[in-house]
Amino acid sequence: MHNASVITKFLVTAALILLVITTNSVLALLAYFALILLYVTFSKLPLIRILRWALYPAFFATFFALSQIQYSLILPVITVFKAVDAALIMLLFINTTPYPQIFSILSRVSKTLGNIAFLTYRFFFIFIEQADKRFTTLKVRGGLAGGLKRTIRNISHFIGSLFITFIDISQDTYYAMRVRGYNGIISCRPGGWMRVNIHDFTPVSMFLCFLIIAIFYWLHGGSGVFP
Amino acid sequence: MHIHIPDGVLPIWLWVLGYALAALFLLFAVIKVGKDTRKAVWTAAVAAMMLVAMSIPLGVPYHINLTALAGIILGPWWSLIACFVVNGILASFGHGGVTIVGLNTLVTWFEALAGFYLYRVFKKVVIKDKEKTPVAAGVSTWIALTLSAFLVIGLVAASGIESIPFHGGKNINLNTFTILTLTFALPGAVVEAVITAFILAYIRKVRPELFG
Repeated sequence: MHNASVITKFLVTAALILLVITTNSVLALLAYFALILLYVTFSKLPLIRILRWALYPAFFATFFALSQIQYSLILPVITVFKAVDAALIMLLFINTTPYPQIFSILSRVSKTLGNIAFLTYRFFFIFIEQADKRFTTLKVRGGLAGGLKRTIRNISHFIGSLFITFIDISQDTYYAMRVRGYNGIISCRPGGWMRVNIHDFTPVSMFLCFLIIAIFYWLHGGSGVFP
Repeated sequence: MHIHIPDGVLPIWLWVLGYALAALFLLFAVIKVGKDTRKAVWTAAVAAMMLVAMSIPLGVPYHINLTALAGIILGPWWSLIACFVVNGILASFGHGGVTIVGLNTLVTWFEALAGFYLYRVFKKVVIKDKEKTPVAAGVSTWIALTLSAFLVIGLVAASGIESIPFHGGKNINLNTFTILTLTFALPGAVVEAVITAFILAYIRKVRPELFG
């Protein structure tokens, strides 16, 4: 999956998500789920970590599914599986494709959008490291203990101090980029990863498997064979 | 708040409309902001700050957004770009559906817009004392987030989900969804408003030149 072209992975991801959200069968969604896990494993991605990430959308899907539970037990399951399947497909795409390649697609639409997305992604990891260190310090020094008012005040000061650090980092980055010739365009030229190649068979085969399940569901779903 | 409704729940026409409207506004925003490289880097920093804030757990799987603060700092058009980028990156991590990135962009932008304009009104008309601008930011944030919670419920209601027949004409209960959403969103709006006010108070104390 890693070596497949970005354009194929992007199109296949979009098609798979469309298939998932238009499917209303627990069995079909379960089959998609098993297939995605197979491809995650096949791509040598950390399965447990990927599943842990998928818990987040599962939680919010459950939040919505709770409002459906009084009418049916199947509909909430479908809701949760749709969310998890779609998230897993996205995670598979993201984890097998370097971000600059994804942002280069956005840059083709708008340079400003592509640049800001790329810089946001870069800043995020710099900032999260800073935030992590300071948050640990805050916890160790008892910043989250001592009542709600004090906790909120400490968290606010923590975010405020981070905010000022972020401003400094972003300004330094801007000046460094200007010195290196930044004029509003971060060049990300299409390389081999943009061209269709033999490795595209993997995402295409995944799409075909999904399509077979979907066709089977469409043909037999109404007759109750595929609930 | 932003919509945590997963993929496949909202009807296709609604999220396609969300994408179309977001694309239209983004096109206008990109033309409007021009090639201000410094502001572009600054917008990316604020967007990253929003992402970091959304990664800080507050005891339950609930997080602050800082969208109103982003609106106050960046203004209407740059905040739209920041909202789009943040929602796009979040969706790629499985935080919010991919299909509702457009709608989430509009909802979070609504918060940023409301935050921006309410803050201006409160600062100039209601609270004229410069020392009390954090209060203006807090109140603006609270109103913006409360309005956006109702906007989300309005979107779900407009989607017609309530009338989607399922297994013999059974329907999804919108009332339950509304109660659950407001139970989380309204206290959350108060918490975020207080945090925003404290952040601004802190910045005013440490780096007063940033907000004048």
